[in-house]
Amino acid sequence: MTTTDATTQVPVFRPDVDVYTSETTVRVRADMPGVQSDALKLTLHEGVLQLDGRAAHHRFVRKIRLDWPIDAEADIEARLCEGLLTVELARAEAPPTIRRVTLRG
Amino acid sequence: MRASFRRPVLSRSVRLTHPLVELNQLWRELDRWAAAPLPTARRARLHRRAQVQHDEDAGTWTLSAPLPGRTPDEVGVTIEEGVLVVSSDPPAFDDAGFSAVHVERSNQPGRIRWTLPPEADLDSVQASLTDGWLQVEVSRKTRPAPRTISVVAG
Repeated sequence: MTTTDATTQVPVFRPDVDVYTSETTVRVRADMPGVQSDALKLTLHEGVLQLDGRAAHHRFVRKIRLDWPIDAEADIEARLCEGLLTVELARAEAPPTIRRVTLRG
Repeated sequence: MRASFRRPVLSRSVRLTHPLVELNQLWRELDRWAAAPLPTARRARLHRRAQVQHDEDAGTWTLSAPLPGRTPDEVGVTIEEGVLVVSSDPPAFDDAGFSAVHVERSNQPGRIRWTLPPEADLDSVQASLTDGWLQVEVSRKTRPAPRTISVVAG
């Protein structure tokens, strides 16, 4: 038993995903075999990257929460080659993790 | 063997009055059950991975398999004594300067073995790899036409 797309009745799969990070970049790699670039939709909203790819007989859907602040103004690079998707997002400077709170007495 | 039917368990709000009322209440119970969020484990089981599929129709067997990141030159398809073998190495990446945070994708060499049916026509095997999706088609041998044997009176 698996989920099916309500409109097209094709099976919906959950693609396997790798996430790598460097000091400046977050790299997401996802298996989406059978999907062509014009049938792939990527959205980034509130730190969640959503992948939605449609192939001839199946569909891939996955939401990935990114645990790093992303520079929303920078270009997002996405390549789909031989059914393998690679997305690179620029990291924003991390906000200071220690904040001083002024006490009123 | 006689089949046994168990009466569904209803909540206490369901009163057994008229059969139609009972049926209506039962329908609401089913709607409520269907609308409830799925447990995490069950939801994970529903969202399965793409995997090797076998299909068959009247004259053709088809094998489909995900091989993302591989080009046709990197995938080998051979037939060894009636067994179709698909082998491929995982794609190599240059992740220098990056550290892995979350890894799900397999880094193992892919190998699929498929014992072909005796009726398979081995000369008809066709394989294609498009956008990382492998498809192998094998046709059924054409059956020879029935031969009429004349009987001579002896």
